[in-house]
Amino acid sequence: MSDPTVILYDGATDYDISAQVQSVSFKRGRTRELDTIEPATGTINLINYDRSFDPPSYNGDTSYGTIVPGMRVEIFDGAVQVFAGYVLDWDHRWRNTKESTASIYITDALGTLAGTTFTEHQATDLQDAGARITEGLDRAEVGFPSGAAYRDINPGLDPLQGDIVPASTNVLNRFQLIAQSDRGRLYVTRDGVLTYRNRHDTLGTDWTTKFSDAESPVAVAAYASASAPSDATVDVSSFADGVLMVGITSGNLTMATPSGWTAEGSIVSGTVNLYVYTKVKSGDTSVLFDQSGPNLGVLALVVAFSGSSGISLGSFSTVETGGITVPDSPTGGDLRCFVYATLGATDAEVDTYTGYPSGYVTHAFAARTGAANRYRIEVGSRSTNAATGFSMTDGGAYKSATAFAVVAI
Amino acid sequence: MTFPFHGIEVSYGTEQLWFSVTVQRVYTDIIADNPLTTEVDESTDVILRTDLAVPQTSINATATAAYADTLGARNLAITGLLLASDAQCKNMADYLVDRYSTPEPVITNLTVILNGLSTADRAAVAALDITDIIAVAWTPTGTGGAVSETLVVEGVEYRATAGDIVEISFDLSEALSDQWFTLDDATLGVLGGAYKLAY
Repeated sequence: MSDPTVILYDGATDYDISAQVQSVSFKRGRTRELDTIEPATGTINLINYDRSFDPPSYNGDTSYGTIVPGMRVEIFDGAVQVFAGYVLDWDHRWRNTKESTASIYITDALGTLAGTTFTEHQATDLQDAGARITEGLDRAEVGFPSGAAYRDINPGLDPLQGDIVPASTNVLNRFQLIAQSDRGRLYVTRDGVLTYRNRHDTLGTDWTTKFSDAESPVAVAAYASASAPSDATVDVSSFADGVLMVGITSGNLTMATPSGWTAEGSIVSGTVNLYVYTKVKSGDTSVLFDQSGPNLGVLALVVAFSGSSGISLGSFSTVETGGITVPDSPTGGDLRCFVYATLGATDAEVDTYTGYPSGYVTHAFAARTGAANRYRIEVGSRSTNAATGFSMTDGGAYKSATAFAVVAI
Repeated sequence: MTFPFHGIEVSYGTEQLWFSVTVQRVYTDIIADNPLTTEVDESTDVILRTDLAVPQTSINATATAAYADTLGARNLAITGLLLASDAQCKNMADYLVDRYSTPEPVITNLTVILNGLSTADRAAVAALDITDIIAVAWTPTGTGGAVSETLVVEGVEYRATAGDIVEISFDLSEALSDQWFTLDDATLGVLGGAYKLAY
């Protein structure tokens, strides 16, 4: 299983933007019991090389962008929905290297309530918290949708006084005060249902989910570039300008730059997504795997160079095949990808893709079997295909490259 | 179902420590028409205050004596609540003092890296939501006695970063496990039994 699925919905069409997602994070609920539950906050960072996420009608150009604030956003981890909410803001960043990224800032239904106010009215005396919240949701100026898909409000415990609600009272602040008075919880579930639970609803010691150190930890060797645990090595010393991130689900991995066979690793099993996000001026961005198993797995590489019109993650499901997808023509030279086999101390190039592609191309590498295959992926344009001596051929101008290498064994 | 975790944070100190708690409700007001004007003129309505809300304070004298010299009085004031009576405010103050006036180590956060879990286990952990109750058991650093707690999920944080690492963290509070007086219950309905009056 890889990254989460992200769906945007504009009221008519679902947009699955998962392939363009760089990262997703969100936080719902509160930190401590005595805190107030505030609207969820979250960020989705997107690759925007094809300008799909540009503002519509930006500067009069209507060619791009159908994404607008207020769209519904749903996030799934596998089959499990983990977030439902709305797009608050879009931010866009362009560099003069033609890189483009977009960020979505998201919230949940509590954020919607935070943008709504009451007209003056007096609450019903001795009403419980659940009834008081329901009454507020049903008021015309709030107009919160009814039905189990939108709200699940349990009764409260304490009778509340029929206080006066002044005009322009913020709806969320009002509901938070009601929940605090009853010591209950008003929150939005992971599938987007506004929910109220009184303090007795979470009473007791019954549980079905237990976490224990008796269970073996998940074998994650590294999930941050500079803080990789000992069984992974990440050398980013050559990156004068860029970010490198690496993740591995099991086994050992070494990743290194610059050019040359300077690092090795072993991927024992599982699926590894490796992301290199960097800018290269002189030298290359390369990823080197040494496989410990007998069979060559799947190699997929997606590369976007400056000015490219977009990228998409290659889909490879057959073991012992591989390929390379180039969305657009790289500038400054050929794009090359090599597969080496290691025979003793000698590395022999056994399969190569070299080209100066225009538009999308796919290259399937020949199946490999052997005890010690070695994969080398080099991203960039280069003048020679020697294992060392890599150099850019465009006179040293910056080239942006984003590479996604997927290795499944 | 039992799952592995990657990290636990434990709070033990003054983050949630209150030796006394004061709870006060808002005054009960009603809107009335001004008899000197026409009834339809809302701009001249008057607000009538029908009662006074007296602050209700509960104190843990033992904790105050033990810690106040160094940690201060540590009073938690909660005002402006919509409760209908002062008695309700007193109940809340009593409950909060009972729960938060003694320093206790509490697991406040637990992190799980979803990668590497089986599909079924990953789905079960990802499906945890606010107000779900979980249990945590572990032996810190592998030495000494085992620790176990029952906790309520107060918050959920989800992070999927480039590199295919997906983490989920749960903010937690201690689940209420008090034995409360229950009518007609053979154990909890007996006078003088080991229970508390419900709040």
